[in-house]
Amino acid sequence: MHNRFNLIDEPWIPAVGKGFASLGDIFSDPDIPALGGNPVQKIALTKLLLAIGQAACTPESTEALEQLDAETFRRACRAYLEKWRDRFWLFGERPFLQMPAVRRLIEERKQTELKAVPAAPAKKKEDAEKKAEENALPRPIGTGFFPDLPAENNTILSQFQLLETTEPAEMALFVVTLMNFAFGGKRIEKNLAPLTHGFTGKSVSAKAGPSIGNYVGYLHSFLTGPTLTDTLLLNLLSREQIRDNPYWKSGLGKPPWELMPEGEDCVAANHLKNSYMATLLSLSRFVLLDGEAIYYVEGLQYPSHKEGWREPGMTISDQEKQLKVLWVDPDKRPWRELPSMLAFLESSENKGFECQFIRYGLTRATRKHPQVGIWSGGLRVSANSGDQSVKQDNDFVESLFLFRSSEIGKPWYDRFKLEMESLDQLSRKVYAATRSYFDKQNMDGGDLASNASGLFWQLCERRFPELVDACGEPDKLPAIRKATAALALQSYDTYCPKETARQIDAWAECRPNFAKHFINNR
Amino acid sequence: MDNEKEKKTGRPEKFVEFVIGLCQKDKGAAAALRRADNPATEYQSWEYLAGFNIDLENPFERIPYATIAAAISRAKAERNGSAGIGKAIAYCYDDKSASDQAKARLRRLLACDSVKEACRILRPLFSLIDSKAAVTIDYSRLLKDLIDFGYDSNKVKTKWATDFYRHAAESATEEVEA
Repeated sequence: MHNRFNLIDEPWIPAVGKGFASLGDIFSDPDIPALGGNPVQKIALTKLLLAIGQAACTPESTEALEQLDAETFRRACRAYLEKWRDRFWLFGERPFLQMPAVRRLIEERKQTELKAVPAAPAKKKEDAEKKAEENALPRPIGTGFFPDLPAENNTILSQFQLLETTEPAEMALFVVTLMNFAFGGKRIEKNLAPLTHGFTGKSVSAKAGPSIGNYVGYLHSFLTGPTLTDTLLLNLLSREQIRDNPYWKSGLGKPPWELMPEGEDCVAANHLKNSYMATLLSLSRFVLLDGEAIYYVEGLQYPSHKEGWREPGMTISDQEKQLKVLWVDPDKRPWRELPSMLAFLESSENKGFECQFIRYGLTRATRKHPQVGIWSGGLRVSANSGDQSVKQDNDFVESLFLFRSSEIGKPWYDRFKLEMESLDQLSRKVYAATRSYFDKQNMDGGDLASNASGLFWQLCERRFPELVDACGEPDKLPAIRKATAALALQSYDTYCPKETARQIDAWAECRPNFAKHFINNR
Repeated sequence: MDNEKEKKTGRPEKFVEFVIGLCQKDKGAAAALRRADNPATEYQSWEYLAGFNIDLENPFERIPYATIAAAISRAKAERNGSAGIGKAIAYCYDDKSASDQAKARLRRLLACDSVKEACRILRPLFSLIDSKAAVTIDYSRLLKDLIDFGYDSNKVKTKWATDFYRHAAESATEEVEA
């Protein structure tokens, strides 16, 4: 099979302002502002680029990392890509992130199935043979197979749905996304022998990709700079920082294209599983692109956050007995988690939630750029006995929060935290008021109450940049507070009608009174 | 234009002042005004209402003015008070706005569809407030509300209901602080 579609030359990465870019473009054009695609693709691609960056040039110490400039970084990456050029073919002898051995397994399974075919009657034999042949065929990428898809009879059209694809560029993107974000479940090739002889860890249901987690989907966050290279540099770790982290036992590790594992439990696989590289690019599925379709088998199994999986993009608190992770929640926009993510600004010691990318990079970022951003996002999934799918109100979530570097610091953070707490208080008041409005009329208003407080957050989101700025200039805060209180009343009024006597009565009785709110906050 | 507006907003206040003054000076007028809220005897007060340029043919104007005039002369008010009708109802009972009876009274008032009905419901409320609550009603504001009732009854009702509950909350905090 000859080599085809080299990822270094062919455009396949969605990039803002460029349409599609190749890996070579990404590391030679200094002006690409950011990646495109859906949030999961953005995370997966950022991680792939970081993996290349880390493999090409990981500074030994944190000081050296501070010195690293964009041009040197890009040059190192280009040299690295040139060195490993023959490993970036999407199709060929050593296809990128794929396991050609899968084909052998499928063939073996087909032979076993053919052997078990009943000899008579002829009709039955023919059917069984046909079925065995069909089972051995690769599946098209798209509806019914792609794990990000709801059932085919779903009537809601969403962003996360994908049409069948035969474009190599989209297939490459799919393979990269799959590695860390494969859904757990039964939609894999079954009844296959393991690649490592004697490996017994496989079951009917495949484990989820480590970055989506075994539950509902982790929230991932990165620092962002003015250009894509800056973004990558800000999230780069030094060897020192990697060594400091006890969870990555084998250190930085080798990216999988340098050393592909041979099976589920070989030396290379175990090394990869315990390295920092696995958080950037894991091999949770063994796949093989075949023409326009794909074979899809469970790959390496990774632990969940409870068993020690750590990604620098996850926001985790291990201060209490029970480990806490921030999850993706379409109802709770990521900007509301910012006080947790920035909690380290409050004091130097670790308290509560922490996101390593932000913690390691923020000071560096504020020194280098006048404006820095925090990007958060992910995909919410539903899990049912290990089977994950995207259904009902599950959705992608992403948000980008920009702030001026000159303002960031403890006084800013203290004010910001206070303001966010007061927003939280307002939303709770809206919830309680709406709920008691319906209670007064002997109705259950739980759902409407959450809608009302949800509406309040939605209305606040538009004012959020103003609030962030106002925390830098406290004179503006009273106006913002007044505006947010008005938004709270607006949310309450929207969900609590006042038409009849009883409604007016309940409305007036339960309407929150914010006079005290201002006095307390003054 | 501004002057005209001022004149317009000032009319209920002037009427309240006029009635209070009239009742103190003229016992006969006071007696006639006391009958203003009874359809059978209402005509006796027309002479005084007409003296204030009230359009007697228009019930949406006549009835609120007559009701308020009757209330003032009955209560023998010496000046215009400061309590809204909501607060006044709440203050008739020991539990203030937490009282079920007070709530029932308020709700009946909120259920009114027309200014005519509202005035009919207000009549017994005035005597209740006179005898039980230690507050004086802000007659001019109430009169204004009644005039506005025909244009936007919902707004007026929410105002009354808010008044009813808001004062209860304030008094509760005062107690805590004391």
